[in-house]
Amino acid sequence: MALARGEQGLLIFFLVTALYMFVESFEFQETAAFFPRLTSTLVIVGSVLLLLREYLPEPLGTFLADDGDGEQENRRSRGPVDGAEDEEAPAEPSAAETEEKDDVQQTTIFGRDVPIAGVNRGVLTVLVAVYIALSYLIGMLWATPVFVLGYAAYARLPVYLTVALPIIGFAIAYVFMGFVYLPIDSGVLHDWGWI
Amino acid sequence: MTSVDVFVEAAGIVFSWPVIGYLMLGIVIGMVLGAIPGVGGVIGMAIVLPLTLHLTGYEANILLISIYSGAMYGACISSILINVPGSAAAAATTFDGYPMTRNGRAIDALTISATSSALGGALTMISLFFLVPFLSQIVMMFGSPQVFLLAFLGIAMIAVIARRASTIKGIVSGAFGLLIMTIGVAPAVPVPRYTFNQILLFDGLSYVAILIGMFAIGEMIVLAGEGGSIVSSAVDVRGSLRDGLRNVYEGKILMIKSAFIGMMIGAVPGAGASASNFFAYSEAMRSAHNPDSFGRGDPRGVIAAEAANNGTVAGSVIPTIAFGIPGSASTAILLGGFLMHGLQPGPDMFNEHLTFTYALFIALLFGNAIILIIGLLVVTRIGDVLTRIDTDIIIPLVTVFSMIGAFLLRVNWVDIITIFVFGVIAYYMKKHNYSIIAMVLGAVLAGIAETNLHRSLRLDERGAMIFFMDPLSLLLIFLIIVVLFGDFIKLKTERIVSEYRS
Repeated sequence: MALARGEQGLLIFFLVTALYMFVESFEFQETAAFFPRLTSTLVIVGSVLLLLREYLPEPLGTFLADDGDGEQENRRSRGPVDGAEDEEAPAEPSAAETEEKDDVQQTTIFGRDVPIAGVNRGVLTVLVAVYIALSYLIGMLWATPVFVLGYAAYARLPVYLTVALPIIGFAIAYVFMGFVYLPIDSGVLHDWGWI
Repeated sequence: MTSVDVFVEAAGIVFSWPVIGYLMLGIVIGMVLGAIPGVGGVIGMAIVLPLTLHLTGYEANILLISIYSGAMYGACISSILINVPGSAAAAATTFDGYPMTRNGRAIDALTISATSSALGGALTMISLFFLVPFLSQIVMMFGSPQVFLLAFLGIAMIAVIARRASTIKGIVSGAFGLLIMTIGVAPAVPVPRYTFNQILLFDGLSYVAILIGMFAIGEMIVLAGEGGSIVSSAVDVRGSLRDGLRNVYEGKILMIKSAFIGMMIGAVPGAGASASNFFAYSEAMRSAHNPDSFGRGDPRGVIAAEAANNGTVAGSVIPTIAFGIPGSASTAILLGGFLMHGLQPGPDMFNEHLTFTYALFIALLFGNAIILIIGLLVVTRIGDVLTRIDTDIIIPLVTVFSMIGAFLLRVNWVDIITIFVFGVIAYYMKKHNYSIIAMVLGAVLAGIAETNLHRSLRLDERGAMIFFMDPLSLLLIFLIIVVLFGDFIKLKTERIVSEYRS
């Protein structure tokens, strides 16, 4: 079975990181180099085997084969059928079915059909990245309500929640700033005198 | 001090303020988070961990372990009410818990689960007190070479047992966790590694930040794709508390057996509550006079599953405290809590820090009493509210707590970048069946593994031969080989046998 693009990317990330760390270890003293060399070797060998598993001979390929179908612990079925008079409880979809269901619901972005689930995850990831950047620039205290508002608006939460959640987020950050003296009320823009 | 003196001192600490307050808070947080499918106690522990920096070791670790225990029970609430397990630890509870709800016996089921969880957890915790003298003797046999080998065995076991995926995936995950923690100043010699001359990297990556990234941010990315609430309307919650209690009394032997099954499986790194509740359920079915009633609302199914998953808590604490080998995500975070507060797992936990160890056990024991009270008096009345919480509310709040928690660790922007990067890595790992726990375990154990490796190599001038010098080390090496290659050898053997037969 061909590797999914995401898995290829993950393995390449592991491989490149381990290769760099292996090569760089020759710059260190022997004692300091031993452990990174040992662990990077394991990662390099394992990653290469996994990347090339479809080309490997049968026994090795079987050994490397994966009989799972992804994380199932957080897969949820839809809720119960309303009404106690229903005779049969709804069957719980398998992880594959649920994933397929997620992917079937699509939206169009820049003329391409993409699964809504993937878009939602992508948006959250981008929002978190923006949250981090904004926190660095203006301080986490001020970036927090912006992030929460952004997510609440994207998720189309009810108005009262879209207003309340950013306030709650700000309050959480403020409490930490006050009680444990966390320096989150300013960022580099303040340091540079831009704000 | 005698054991009784230590016990009394530990009890005094647990029942003092604010420790008792943190205990109760932890149980409630655990129950609430455990009841929300897709969230779970692990996320609660991950985001609370950095927030405990300013607490004492007792307050912090009792809070964490209470969240763990509370979540183990809380996961049953959505299992019973809406047929969706709060976590894998309550998956088997759905088999009979949800049919009981559909039969108009939701309160019975919730009562059974609260009572079985509390009593099963309490019994196994009490047995731990009797195990401590034996554990301390076993632990004393472990020196630096054995501790290093045990770290590798722990990762190997997690890699193989925790997931049904290929061993290599687990090994790569675990090894990457070990590797990434070599960033920073080396423990053996004060040499900076992979720091790019950046002072922010001299202290390396924080395993707590990796924990937060993988368990909290990674989980939120997964949840964002699922979105919304599980149910929009109220669940029919009817039944009788008294009938539920009577069912537990009638199934008391089953409850005790299931609790100890959970404890034994919980002690195996990588097995965890997800395995124990299925195993206990299967065993209950196998030994029942009328197994056909299972899966149709048989209270014995709920008793077995719930007693086992709370029994797992006691079992999983054993390798964590004794050897520093956490067997699950929750105990990996717990280990993080120990290390963060200067507590080194191993012999010290049974000598110098015996009071702390007993305090943890007493906290778990008392925590089960709180689970019983809240379960019987509160959850049976308002449990369905938790199932209606919209995860789009949880996601931004968990993210905020994660960011603040990560920054609180060292006021270091590297930790913020870490949680983001590892959150994304965790998402792809989950999607493609790579073991997150193996990577986390690698990250948590990296310091212990490298330090003990170097210490071991210095013990004998022949270097690596130290690992082959004594029976205990050889046994550990044998176990590592069996764990890593057992499946491959089994496959080859089956192939040879089938070829021979044909």
